[in-house]
Amino acid sequence: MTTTEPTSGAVGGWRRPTPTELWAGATVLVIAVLLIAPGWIAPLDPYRLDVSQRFRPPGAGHLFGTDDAGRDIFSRVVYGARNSIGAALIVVTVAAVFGVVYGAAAAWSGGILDRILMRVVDLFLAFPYLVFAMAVAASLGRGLTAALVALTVLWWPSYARMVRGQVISLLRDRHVRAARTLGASGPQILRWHVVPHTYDAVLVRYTLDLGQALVALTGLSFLGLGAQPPTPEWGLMIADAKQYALTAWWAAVLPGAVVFLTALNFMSLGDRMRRAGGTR
Amino acid sequence: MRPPVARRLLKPVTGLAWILVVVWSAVSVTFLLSRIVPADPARLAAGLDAGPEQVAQVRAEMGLDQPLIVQYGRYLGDLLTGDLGRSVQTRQPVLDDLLSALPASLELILVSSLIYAVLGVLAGIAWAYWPRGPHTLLLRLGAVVGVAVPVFWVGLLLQIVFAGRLRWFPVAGNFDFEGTGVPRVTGMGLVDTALTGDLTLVGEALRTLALPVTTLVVTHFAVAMTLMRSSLEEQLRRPYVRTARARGVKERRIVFADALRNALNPVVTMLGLQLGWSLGGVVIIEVIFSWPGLGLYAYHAFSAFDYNAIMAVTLLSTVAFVLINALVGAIYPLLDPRLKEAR
Repeated sequence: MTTTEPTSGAVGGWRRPTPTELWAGATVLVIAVLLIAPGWIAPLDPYRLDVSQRFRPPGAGHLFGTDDAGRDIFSRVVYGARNSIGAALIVVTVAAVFGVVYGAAAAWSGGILDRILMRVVDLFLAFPYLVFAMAVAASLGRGLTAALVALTVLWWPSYARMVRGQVISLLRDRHVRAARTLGASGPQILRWHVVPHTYDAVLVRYTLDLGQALVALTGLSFLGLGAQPPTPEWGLMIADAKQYALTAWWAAVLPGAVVFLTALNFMSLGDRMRRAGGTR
Repeated sequence: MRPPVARRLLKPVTGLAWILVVVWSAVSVTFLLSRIVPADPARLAAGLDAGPEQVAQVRAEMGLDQPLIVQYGRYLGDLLTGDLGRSVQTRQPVLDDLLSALPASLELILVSSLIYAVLGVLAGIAWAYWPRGPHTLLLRLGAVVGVAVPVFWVGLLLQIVFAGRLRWFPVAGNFDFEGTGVPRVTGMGLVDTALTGDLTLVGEALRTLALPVTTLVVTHFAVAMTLMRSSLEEQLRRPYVRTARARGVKERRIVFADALRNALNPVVTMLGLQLGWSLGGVVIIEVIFSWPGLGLYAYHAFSAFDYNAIMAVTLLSTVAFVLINALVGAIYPLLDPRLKEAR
């Protein structure tokens, strides 16, 4: 993962990674392990019911305690990363890719087509996205896929607007004129000389948005509009634990703390990347 | 270039047209969404023990056997006359349901927006005014935590600690009108108890508000604070501030009389946006605290595939969102004299 820290030393040569790069690398590594091999970390089967182990408080046997069906909450949180972080990754990745292509296309085409394309973006941004995501998720028939589709549909316009602005100012840049003089075609210029320059800013927003999307997705699941039981998913786990939160606090509080810390990690990492990169 | 006079006359017209386009799209999208719900509305309306003939009869009554375009036309016509249909769950007109749920949500939204706007702006000003010191660490922490913390987590945590353990506040529900015999005038507990003039009742209303409002404030004040700070800091770097300082104008006067006025604009826009979004944000809070407002109504509608209710809530929040944005655009020139001249 690259960051926007100023590069020191020769290009391609090894240099000591900056703290931000180490932080980003560690984040990627932890998430990769959680998504690919949760079994390495989780001590127990996330689906195994054991009524004799109901409502065990956090302790040696069960790090995060157990829920009303005697399932190990820590194991469920670990396996839940696939559904929670994984879903957030899908939403933001699809939204970012589509938004970048859309924004670059609008900026490149210019004129009336650009105005129409951006009016569509304005329209999407004029909707209160959370309520719409709920309505879309409810209509598509409650499930993780429905929540994913609902959020993705509403997430891409901010990328389109950001990238369009950048591409328009980049197209006036000297190196683009040079490329054009040398006979590069339109798509070539866009692909190799313009769009890559927007990646720094897109990456910063992407990192920040991972946190936002995680909170939004777990929020939808919390309302019953995302993953359905008995899937281990963070928002759903908290919703299930809500009814007995006053007696077995850990079942709601600890998975919630994991959502919070994960989002906090993404957002402070993104914040740091932005400050390290400065403003273009 | 269009002559300025024509543009000036055209601006409110295009603004209004845009509002209509947004609302019409919202109407159309919600209509389409309501027709792809996986549950059969006629079946839901007829009840579980209804036979196939009864379901067919209900379907005909609801107009669901007509072609989609006819249904769409009828829906638009009904909307224009203020008819939002009947809720499958409550068996009442959706409009009545909305109107009875609205005050509780408004109370929550208005009280908390007022608090987080004032807190956020003041904290942002303090941060820009005293940019160094131990308090900045706290403010920076608050800024990151405030945007990352999930609403449902804060709500549950407050509920467990302050209602469950300490029993300072009620676990759930809004002000109890029936139990106390307070007449419903506005439907907002705080206002109606204040109208009776009985301070213990006002205290009761405040106690019910405390936890949900705190949840909203904790999750919302950070955006205003961060924006206020960066906006004010940017103004303080401008040449006019340097000139004023060189002329020996007092720093307090520079900040509060000149810079603050210019710096408030983006903050007001953001607060307007947040107010518009809050209808979506209160759903989770109302569910946690069983607060009988629009959010809880929407939640029940989502769970029951009550499609008329879903459409109505979505539409209502879109209209509110668009109107708030338009309003913010309209009060802009009042805050910024430069824009008044440009208009």
